[in-house]
Amino acid sequence: MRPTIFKFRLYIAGDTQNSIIALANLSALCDSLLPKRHKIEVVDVLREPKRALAEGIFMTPTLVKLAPAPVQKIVGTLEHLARVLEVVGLRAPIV
Amino acid sequence: MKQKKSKTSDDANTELLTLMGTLRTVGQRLEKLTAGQVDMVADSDGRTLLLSGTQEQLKRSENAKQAAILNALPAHIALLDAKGIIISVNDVWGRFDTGNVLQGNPGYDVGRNYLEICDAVRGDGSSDARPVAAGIRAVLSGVKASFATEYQCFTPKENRWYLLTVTPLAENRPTGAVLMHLNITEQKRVALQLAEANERLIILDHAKAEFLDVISHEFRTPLSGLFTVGELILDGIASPEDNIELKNMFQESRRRILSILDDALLLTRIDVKRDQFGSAPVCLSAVLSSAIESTTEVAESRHVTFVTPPANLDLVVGDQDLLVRAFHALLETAVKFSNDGGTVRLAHKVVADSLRVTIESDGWAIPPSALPKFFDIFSVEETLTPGGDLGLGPPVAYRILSLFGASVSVANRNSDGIRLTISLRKAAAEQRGAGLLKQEKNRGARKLKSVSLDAEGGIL
Repeated sequence: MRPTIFKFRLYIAGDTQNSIIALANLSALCDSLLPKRHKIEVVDVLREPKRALAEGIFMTPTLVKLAPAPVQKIVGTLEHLARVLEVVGLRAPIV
Repeated sequence: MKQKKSKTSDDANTELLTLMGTLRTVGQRLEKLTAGQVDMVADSDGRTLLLSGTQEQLKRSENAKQAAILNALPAHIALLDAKGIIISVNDVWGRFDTGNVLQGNPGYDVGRNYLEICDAVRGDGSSDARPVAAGIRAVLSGVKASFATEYQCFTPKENRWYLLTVTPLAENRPTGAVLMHLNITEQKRVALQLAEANERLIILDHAKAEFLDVISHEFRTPLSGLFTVGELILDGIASPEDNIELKNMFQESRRRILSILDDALLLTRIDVKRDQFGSAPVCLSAVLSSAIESTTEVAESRHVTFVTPPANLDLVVGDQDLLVRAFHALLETAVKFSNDGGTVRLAHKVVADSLRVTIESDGWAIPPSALPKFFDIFSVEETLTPGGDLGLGPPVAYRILSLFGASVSVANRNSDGIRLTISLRKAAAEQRGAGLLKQEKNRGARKLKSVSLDAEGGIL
């Protein structure tokens, strides 16, 4: 049985501080919890503004978990690990 | 009316202040809502807004990048405003050379007017400072697109060279300039070494030329002795048939040795004393007939016939003797590529400002691999021609022609012969007049020629 691949798309705004932090946090999380089981696509909304608009992204940084279903979004620097893990589906919802 | 204007202006100011306040409030509220974790927000139409914290951070980041770039450069860099006041410097700017009146030092800090610094320089450095100040002013006022100068700086340890460049901040309006002092001492040192090495090479070249000159003369005397002795010995051989065969071989060897010696000497002189060769208007037909005459013996030995074009009085730029020598070398080359009993055809025509002469032979073609280096020294092997070794003929012709702005090229004629194409510069009208009159010895002929040249516009 093939392992589940987690697909993420991170919307950032150039090399702004929060965007850089978000990308660093996502990479660290994936490397530690999903080694060789993840794919990250980075979309710079300063370069591709129409794409962000078409996909309904109004704030950056925004992380979208594309797979496995369901699709989930989280805005911010991804510093709150528990909340991120819940959105990603790696642990139960925080009560 | 004035009152109304003033009121309108006050209203606009009040509205502006109110809007600024609203913007600040909106920004603060957005920061609070996003807990400082968002850089940018967008509305449903895609209009984006960078939050104030991000704007500040981007500005700091951009400044840091620019500073890093400037600090990474080894040059002393300062940014001047439109009046010449230093508004920013890189780290290297402060590391000055003692004795350099133009370069940054602790006294030339941000806020000082660099033009005033230059104007105030007295003594040894003033000769450098004055043109620098003028150059900066020219750039700042938009008179000059840029300014650059090299100057020498005498420090206690060594003499250093600097390149000063002044580049405007904007092309169309004088908003300031970037001033850069780059240490070019190493490049100057290398350039100086190269110049010295070049000078030594020139001296060596001259020495080589003189050596070859002496050697060729020294060779001639013992060779003449050997040739005379050889002839005497051959004369004493009893059998007439053997005698003729050996004599021919002997004569051909003697001709080749002397020809190679002469050509080698000329090649060296062209290489080293190029400037010493003068040029004058020369009659092409006279050159061709002399060259054909000097090649007749070789042509007859191979039963090759020359087909010459009708004579004309066109004048070309060159030296009579050297051009004869070049054409002799090319004709001999064509003869050697001809089959025994073949034909070498000459033709010429005017092409724009030049005269093009073609020499075509029926016989062997040049192997494609040998074509590109045909005019190199000893590049064509003896076995590639039916007539034997070409000696130094092709390179000699090539270099003589290049002396006078002429050229020669070679090509095969459908694999059964070669075609040499020579392009010579036509003499200008005034040169033609002088050249022709000089050549005409007959008074009557001179008179006729004068009439003809007058019609062409030559100066008589």
